[in-house]
Amino acid sequence: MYIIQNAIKNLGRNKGRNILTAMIIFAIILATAVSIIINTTTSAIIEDYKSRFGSKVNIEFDVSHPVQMDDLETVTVEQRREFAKSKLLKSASFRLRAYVIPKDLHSLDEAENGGNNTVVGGQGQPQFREPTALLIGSSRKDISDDFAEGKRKIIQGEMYENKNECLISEQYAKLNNLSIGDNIILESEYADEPMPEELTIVGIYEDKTAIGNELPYKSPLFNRGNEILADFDDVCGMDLAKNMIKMGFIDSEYILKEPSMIEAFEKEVRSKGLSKQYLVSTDESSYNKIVGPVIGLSKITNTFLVVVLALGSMILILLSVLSIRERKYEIGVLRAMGMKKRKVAFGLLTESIVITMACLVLGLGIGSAVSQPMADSMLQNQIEIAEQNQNANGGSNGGATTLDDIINPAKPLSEVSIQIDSTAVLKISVIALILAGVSSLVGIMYITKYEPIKILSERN
Amino acid sequence: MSVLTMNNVSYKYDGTTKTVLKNINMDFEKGRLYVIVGKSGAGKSTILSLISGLDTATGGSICYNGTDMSTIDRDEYRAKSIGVIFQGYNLLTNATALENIILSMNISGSKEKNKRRFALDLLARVGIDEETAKRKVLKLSGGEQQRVGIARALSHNPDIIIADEPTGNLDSDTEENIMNILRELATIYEKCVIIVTHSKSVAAYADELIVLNQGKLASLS
Repeated sequence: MYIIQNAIKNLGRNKGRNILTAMIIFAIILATAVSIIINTTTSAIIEDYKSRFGSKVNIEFDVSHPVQMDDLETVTVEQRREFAKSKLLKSASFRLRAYVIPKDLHSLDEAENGGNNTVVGGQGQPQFREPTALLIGSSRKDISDDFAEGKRKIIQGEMYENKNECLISEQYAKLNNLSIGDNIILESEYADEPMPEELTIVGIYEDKTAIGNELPYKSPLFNRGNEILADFDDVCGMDLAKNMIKMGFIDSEYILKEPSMIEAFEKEVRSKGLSKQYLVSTDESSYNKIVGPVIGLSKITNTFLVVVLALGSMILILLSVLSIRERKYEIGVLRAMGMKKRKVAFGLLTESIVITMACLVLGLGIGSAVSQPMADSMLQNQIEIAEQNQNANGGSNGGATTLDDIINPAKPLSEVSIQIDSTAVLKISVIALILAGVSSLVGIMYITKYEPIKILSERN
Repeated sequence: MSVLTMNNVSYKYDGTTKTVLKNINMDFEKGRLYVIVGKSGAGKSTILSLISGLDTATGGSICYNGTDMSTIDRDEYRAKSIGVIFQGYNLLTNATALENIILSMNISGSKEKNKRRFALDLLARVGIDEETAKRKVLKLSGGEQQRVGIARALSHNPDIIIADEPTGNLDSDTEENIMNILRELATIYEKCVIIVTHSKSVAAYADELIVLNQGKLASLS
């Protein structure tokens, strides 16, 4: 006990040296804390996205090997359902998109596009009308990620449950003066074969997906307020959707139990008849685009951490070597008084630990306060670098660009919410303890090397 | 009764051939005050280093209460059995005089309940008042530091007290006071007091005067 008391008193007795040591340790701990706090958060984000993207399997047409229309093998709804029965999957969902023309109704952004129902197509060929709305059939109970994430929510009425029921957006309802219980008629884009379907509006949803996502050009198909939502099976049964099914306008989302099961799943779906014209893959390009800047941030903080620890340790050892000249007399006196080597060493270590703990508390407090703005600034830099790289590559991210990519482009994470968890605190504390050990290491080595008579005779 | 015995003790520094001490045989008893005199470089301080357990003999043996010192824990021996008054004081300069005494008591494992009071009394006994006792050693004069060193040597009530020029920095009145204390420790408190000095007046306090000449001892009384 007296060794601890003496060590604490010693801190006050040698203020100059201890303040210098404390400043260095504080700087190291602060830098370490910021690095680890940011790194822990980014690692969690990366793991989360890796798990999500690694588990989410897409079955898409292989655009790198185009085929003639007549040779195109479609993946039928039945096949997709069969794939969904795989025991490797946690869940599966389907979405069918059908371009439609709501009869006698206006669409959002219709005026900017110069009106609707423009007929195109040559003689002897099908006459197409320009679609003005998108009918989406979803097999998910929560409809889509937008509803799950709160970007969309039903504000009037209820979820569709029966055949020929649908949801429309609040803006669309206002534009056409529609309300719950009204019927709307949807027609196909084929002018000579409209295949009308009558749907009843059972719910109206609020749509916030457009906020911060404004496109430079206006078109009814790019305005998500024109989306009419219904049940997947229901839409599959509609005549106007049949061509869409044939053309593969179905998105299947298969969520694996483990990302590592991708190969086994591919083998299974191939054995169930999936054509080689289709790829079974995870969405790597979106993953890279979204998480890329965060990975960059993580790499920077890791490098920064290593540099800080290496340089900091060297400075601490240097300081210890210099201060031992001052301390060796004290060590000699204590040893001459009969204090055992291990007790002297414990005293030195206690001094370092007390200084380090004070720096740890201060470093953690300030570190947690500055981590968020630092992470924001560094992430912004990473996003800019990623954008510059993409521009240099001609805007390509390596994958095919679809309409969905234009409407819902994968955006890099623009912010990370920095949080301190117990793992980060534990890592920082362990590093702090190692620093305490390093800063008292030279003194301890000195004690074990020299006898008190040598130390005292050198001084005298 | 012999508390400390030197049996054919020899000593030479590492890497040299010159023998500083040659076959020293000497018994030191409790209740007596020994004064070792000799020319500079005669080996007086070396004897003190060996007796105090700070150094080890290169030949022969030193026994404490009949036990060879090479077999005992020398840290324990220094902490409990011997009190050393160094010529260069060897105090913790950034600590106060009082803290030096209390730390010495702590190291020895002193069971004294009120260590602070005991230390202040001890310091007062060597002429250090409470105000001075609370000052850092660095701010004390050489004489005051010498007295703090003496108080520290007495703080853990050791069997043997050894002193290297204990009155070297003291005025004659304080010297007399300190020598009376050391004398009392030997006669009243039955301690074995060993002093190395050049001072004839200090030598006058000796029960046994020992002359060290060319590495050999000769007892004069």
